Amino acid sequence: MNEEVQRLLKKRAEALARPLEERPPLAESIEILVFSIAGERYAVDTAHVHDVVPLRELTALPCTPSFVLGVVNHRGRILPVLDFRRLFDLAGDGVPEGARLVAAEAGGMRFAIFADKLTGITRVDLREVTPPPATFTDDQKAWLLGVTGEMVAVLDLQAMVRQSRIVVNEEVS
Amino acid sequence: MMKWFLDLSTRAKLFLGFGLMVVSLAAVIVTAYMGITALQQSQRRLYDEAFANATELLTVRSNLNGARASMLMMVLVTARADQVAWQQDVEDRSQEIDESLRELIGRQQSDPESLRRLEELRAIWEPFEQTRDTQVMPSIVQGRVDDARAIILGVQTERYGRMRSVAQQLGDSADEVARTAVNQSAQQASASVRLFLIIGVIALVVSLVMVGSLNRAIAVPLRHISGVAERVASGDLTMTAASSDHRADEIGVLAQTFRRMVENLRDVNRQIRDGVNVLGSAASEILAATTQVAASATETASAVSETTTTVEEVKQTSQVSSQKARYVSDSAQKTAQVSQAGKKAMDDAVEGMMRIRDQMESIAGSIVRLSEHSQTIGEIIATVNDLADQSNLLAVNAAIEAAKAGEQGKGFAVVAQEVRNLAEQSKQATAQVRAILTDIQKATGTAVMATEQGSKAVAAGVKRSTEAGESIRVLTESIAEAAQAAAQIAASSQQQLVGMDQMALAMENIKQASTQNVAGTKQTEIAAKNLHDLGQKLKQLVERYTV
Repeated sequence: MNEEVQRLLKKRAEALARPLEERPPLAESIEILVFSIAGERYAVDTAHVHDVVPLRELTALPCTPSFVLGVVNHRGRILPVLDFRRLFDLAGDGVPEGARLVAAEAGGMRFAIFADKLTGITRVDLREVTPPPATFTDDQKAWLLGVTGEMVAVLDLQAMVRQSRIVVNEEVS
Repeated sequence: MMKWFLDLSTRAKLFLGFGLMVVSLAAVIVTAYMGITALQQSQRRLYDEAFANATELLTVRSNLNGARASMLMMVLVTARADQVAWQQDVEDRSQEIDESLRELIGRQQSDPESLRRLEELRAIWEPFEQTRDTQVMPSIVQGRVDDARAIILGVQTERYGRMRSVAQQLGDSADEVARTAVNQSAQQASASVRLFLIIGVIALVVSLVMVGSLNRAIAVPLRHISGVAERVASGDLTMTAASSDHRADEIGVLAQTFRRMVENLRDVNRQIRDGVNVLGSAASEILAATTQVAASATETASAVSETTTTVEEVKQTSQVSSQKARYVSDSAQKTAQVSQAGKKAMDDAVEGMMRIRDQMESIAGSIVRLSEHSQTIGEIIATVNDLADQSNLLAVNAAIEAAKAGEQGKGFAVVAQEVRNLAEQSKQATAQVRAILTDIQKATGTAVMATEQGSKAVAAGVKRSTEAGESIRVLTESIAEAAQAAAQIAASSQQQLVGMDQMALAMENIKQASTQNVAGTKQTEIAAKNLHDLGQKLKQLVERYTV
């Protein structure tokens, strides 16, 4: 009887067991954090991500471009919150319930990306990442690494922070 | 003078007229007869006397001559036989002369002159005969012819001459007599003719007068009346018969009667014409009315026919309704019983409703408590959901940290992934629970509302059922009354059905009568048409008479 139980359990374990993923070499694959903004799926390299926090106590900043949603207090530091809905001409406005902030760091700048919903962390082969399609503008193409086979737009945060457009340096007289 | 004649009856007139004529005719006949008889007598006398005497005398003379000639022949002949024959002849002739003389003497008794001469003749004749027989004959027979001849030529011739002269005288005298008689007879005849003519003329005149009188008295008025009658016959009633002569005879009576008759006929004709006009117009009106009546009768007949059909249908309907009424009556009886039971049941129902109200109140309390509990559960679920979110974030951050740690963080990454999966499952479970709870809350809310409405409904139901109980009580009474009424209706309906049967029968009779009526009206119409035609014909007939 005991043996029978053992055998059944083993069989069940075999049925449920997942085969180990064949991991490509590190240089050719990256881990990305996938999230969705206004129904569109975007991803960033986890190497740039600090952590993910719930969006709380957002403080709107006057005299900033529209893609700056505001600023938040993140573990004692003030981070600007980028709204990709404005940068990628997406629909939607305001802050929905359960919104998240992805705290990232690129090119010495720390900022938070507004996300509607987190999807998870996954590993993609860079060879599977194809250049962005013609539906994006040239500016937008410049901010993207490419599009994965599952139609996830992978953001190039390094390239993005290099652009002068994202830097806010305005004076209000 | 004419008046009395005219006043005589026609028969008397005819008798008178024809009597006069007959008398005249008789007179003529008698006269003629008498004249003719007289003529006959005179002629016979002439014949018997005058002509007979003359003839007899001629015979005597002839025989005298013959006897003398025979005597001479006896003398001349010698043969005995011849002498005897001549002698016989002489004797025969002598005998005839004797007879003639005797007759003449017998006839001439009335005439003395002639008698005397005849006696004279006989006086000569007898000696002559005697001489001949006694002397001459024997002489001849004895053959003494000369003797005989002497005697004959002597005495006998002288005697003969005398006899002949006497006979001659007698003959002349007889001729004279005869001639006289003939003259007398002629005179008598002419007298008779004259008399006959006179009487005939008188009779003719009388007859003509009578004819004229009768013509005037009878024929002329009759012709006049017949002319009037002819015009009356041809339709002219305007004539009046001449009535000026008020005569007492049949003609007068006829004329007056005829006039009265024409007047009466005129009156009658006038009245008939009026009557015929009235009859004509009346017949026209009758015809029109009859035609209308016929049309109406036809319509009535069709209407009656339709009505009969309708009545038949109504009868069937009433039969059905009678059955229905009986059925309704039975049903009403049952319903009355049922309503009694229903009343009882309704009382029970009111009690039940009371109990239901209590139950509903307790259910409402329970549901309110359930609703409060589900609110609490919702709060708990929100907390759990929040916990799951935070776990998820923690897992993601752990994974990021593990990724930063590189190869050493791999195991941790797996744990973080598992934690994240659990958080996801928790979140899904809470979502399900929340969904279920939402359903429960909705259901609870609905239930609360429902129980509240139910409570109200039950309260209303209690009230209603109380009212219904009262209603059913009233209804029961009503149904009892209705059952009674239905029974009465069923009885009435039965009577109605019987009545409808009789009515259908009556309608059938009416229909037949109506059909006969139509036929009768048709006949009446034809009769009215005939009457109308008759009126028109009568009118034409009457119009042929001009009044």
